[in-house]
Amino acid sequence: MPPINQSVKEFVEQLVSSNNVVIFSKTTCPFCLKVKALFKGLDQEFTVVELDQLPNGNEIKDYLIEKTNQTTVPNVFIKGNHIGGYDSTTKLHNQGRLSPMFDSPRNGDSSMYTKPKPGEQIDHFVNELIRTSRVVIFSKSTCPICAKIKNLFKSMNEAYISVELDRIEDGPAIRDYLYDRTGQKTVPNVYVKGKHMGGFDTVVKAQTDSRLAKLLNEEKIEDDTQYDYDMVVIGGGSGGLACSKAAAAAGAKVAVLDFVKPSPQGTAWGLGGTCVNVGCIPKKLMHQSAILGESINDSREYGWQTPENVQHNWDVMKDNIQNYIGSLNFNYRVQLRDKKVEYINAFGEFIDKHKLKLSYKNGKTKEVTARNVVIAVGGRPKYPSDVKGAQEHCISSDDLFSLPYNPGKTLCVGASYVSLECAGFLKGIGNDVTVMVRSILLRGFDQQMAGIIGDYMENHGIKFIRGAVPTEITRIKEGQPGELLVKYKNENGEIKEEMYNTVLLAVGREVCTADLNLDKIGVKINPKSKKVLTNFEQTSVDNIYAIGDVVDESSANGRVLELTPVAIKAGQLLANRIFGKSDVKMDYYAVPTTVFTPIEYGAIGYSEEEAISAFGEDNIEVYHTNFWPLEWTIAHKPHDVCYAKLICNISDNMRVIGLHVAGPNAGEMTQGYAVAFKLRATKKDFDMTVGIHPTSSETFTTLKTTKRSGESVGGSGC
Amino acid sequence: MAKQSVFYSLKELKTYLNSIESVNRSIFILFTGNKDLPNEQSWCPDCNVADPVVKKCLEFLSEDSEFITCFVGDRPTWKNPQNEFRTDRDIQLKCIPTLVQWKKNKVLKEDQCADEALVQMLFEG
Repeated sequence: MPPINQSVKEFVEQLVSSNNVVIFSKTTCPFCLKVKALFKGLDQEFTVVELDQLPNGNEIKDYLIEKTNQTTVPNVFIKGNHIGGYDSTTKLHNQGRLSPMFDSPRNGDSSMYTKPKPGEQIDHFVNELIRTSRVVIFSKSTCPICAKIKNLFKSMNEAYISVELDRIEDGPAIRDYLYDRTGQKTVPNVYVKGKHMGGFDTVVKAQTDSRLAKLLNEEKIEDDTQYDYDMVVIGGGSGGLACSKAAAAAGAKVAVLDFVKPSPQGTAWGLGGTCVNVGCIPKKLMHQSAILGESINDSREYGWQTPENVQHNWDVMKDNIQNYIGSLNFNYRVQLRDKKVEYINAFGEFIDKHKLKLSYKNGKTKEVTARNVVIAVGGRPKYPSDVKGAQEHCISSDDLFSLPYNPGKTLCVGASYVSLECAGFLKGIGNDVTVMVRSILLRGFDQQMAGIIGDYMENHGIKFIRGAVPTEITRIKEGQPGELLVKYKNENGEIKEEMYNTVLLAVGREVCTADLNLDKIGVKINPKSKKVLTNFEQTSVDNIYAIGDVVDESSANGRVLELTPVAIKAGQLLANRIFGKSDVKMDYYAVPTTVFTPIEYGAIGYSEEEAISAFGEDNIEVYHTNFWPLEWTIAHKPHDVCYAKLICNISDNMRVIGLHVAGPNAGEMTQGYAVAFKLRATKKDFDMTVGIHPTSSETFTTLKTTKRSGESVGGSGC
Repeated sequence: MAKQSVFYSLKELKTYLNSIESVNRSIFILFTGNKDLPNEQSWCPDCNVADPVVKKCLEFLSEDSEFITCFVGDRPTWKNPQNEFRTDRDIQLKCIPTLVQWKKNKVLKEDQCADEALVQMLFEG
């Protein structure tokens, strides 16, 4: 029947696409007879290919196995769709779904299975498949979620090609290659028109917000416009620098715009953004200065004859820290030049989606064009509008680290981690410090841990004025520091006043999206937070992206923490995706963080409150204990302050979904456990881990007491 | 024109730096390989490339800054892992040419010293 000069593949494809019903059969097979009888009974014409009657029957059979993963006959196709064998066909019939198929519109291109040709390189196979197919589903034949995804595409009348990883020899190798390329280990792993869509949830989300249909239907128009740059990054902070360097490494022509508007007190700084200049770096160094002060006290218990009244010199600390920051600023400039990223010290705003206006310090302006633009402008401290004298007299974290004098008696306004960290190190270097908070400490963090931090700070001489807000600040005396009179409303609504040398406002941060002209070019923002709405860092305008602090919470699969490493990771991955180096997306789940208050607090994943609201109190088990760091014993520090807890999800095999620790070096303790979260560790994995003795971190390998039991968790020795 | 000086040993250099410790000015030091007298060329090829670039950029130095050239020795002297410039706690030199702003941790290494824009950036502060 098949002409000699036609290949088996063409023969089969031609046959199934041009006939309503095709049955591949063997004359000796009783089930084939039954299927034929079924179609006869339905009064439906069908074409039969008897494999045992054809000289190349075996070749056809091999091709059918390749195409359908089915080794047996009968092998039935209706309107180009693969139906299966006797069981699948009769099942459809019994469900009343067979007859309607004869009337349904024919798929232009039938859905099919594929696998690498013998000897074909895995990367070549995957890349060619993705490049040449509209929809590719990497799947497992046993996976119900994969079946759902296939049905989703069927319901859109969209043919797909699937690769059933559990049915082919190269399955594991393809899975490993996909993990490298996409960062995704699971199936289904879906590509649409060459674009990595991800797994079930992301594809469904793309369908519900109609991005999927748009992607499938749009004609791809190659943009052959010449632009000045392949990418312009607005903002030279951690995220912007990382993104621009990664883009340049991928061969793109890149410029990064960095422009620091002076603070209300006139402080400005060099390249590198908040983290390097007025955030993480100077904060951690001043925290270290405070820790050294504490160690000087402890040292006497360890035999050092340290004199009483060792004094701290603000200028020495500040100058050394600022020198170090200066060297970092310089190094960033050198790196940008090494990596061939153009550094432009100008303020950038959008004219249209490809055109930016640059404003230089000297008042000159210039226009540049870019194929892609990344918004990485970050945020700045908020100044409350209802506090008289705030702008004129208060400093913020933008000013503190380079302050040319010791701030003296200081009021820190706000319950943010910035406020508590600054209060902590200022007290640690010997200053008189008060924290004024309106309501709870560390909103968004685990509140039990926030309580531990607050209590510890209070016990170490930091005064707290709770339930209060400042109303007016007036300068009483000029000087370095001068004197400020702070009027505030206390919890009873009474107006009180107190004199301070310095008032530090740390009531939150706001993103710098207001001056970018985003509304004019159609980049959507969250009206409340002013943060940019994104989908995997892409904004509502397809060539404009956002990373770092400006990304809105609603955009991600976890809380978008305003943290330097989050911005860096998202920026690098984004550049690699835009310039085709990989398809790996940012995973915002279980980002670790540490608050560097006098007692450090490290956290990964869910807070206890979040865990309870997400999974229900009955599904959560909290293991906890106080611990007494060995170093604290000799120093006569309390045994019931440091605290560790693991939050586990009972309904998911005791998966550890939250880790919280308050104690010295919490940052160093927490980072490593973040790897365990990435690997989705369970409580049993923690229990099976051998500790390092004597450390504080080993506590997490021996947690036995649940909160539910109500047993005491006081400190104990070896 | 910024003040210029030349030293041939760690001891000379450190004695001088100590003597001007209290003076508040920007000090830039180029660590480079010794030169042979006849053609004024160093045994270190990278140093020969960087040298004219650094010289050319001296014009960007402010009047009150200072430029020091410090020769680290001939090839065997420099290649010795125990070379005094390598082991000194304050200098910890890893490669030549190296151009630093003293006490500011701003450093250009090897071919960066031959990049006019980078040297200018360092000198202008």
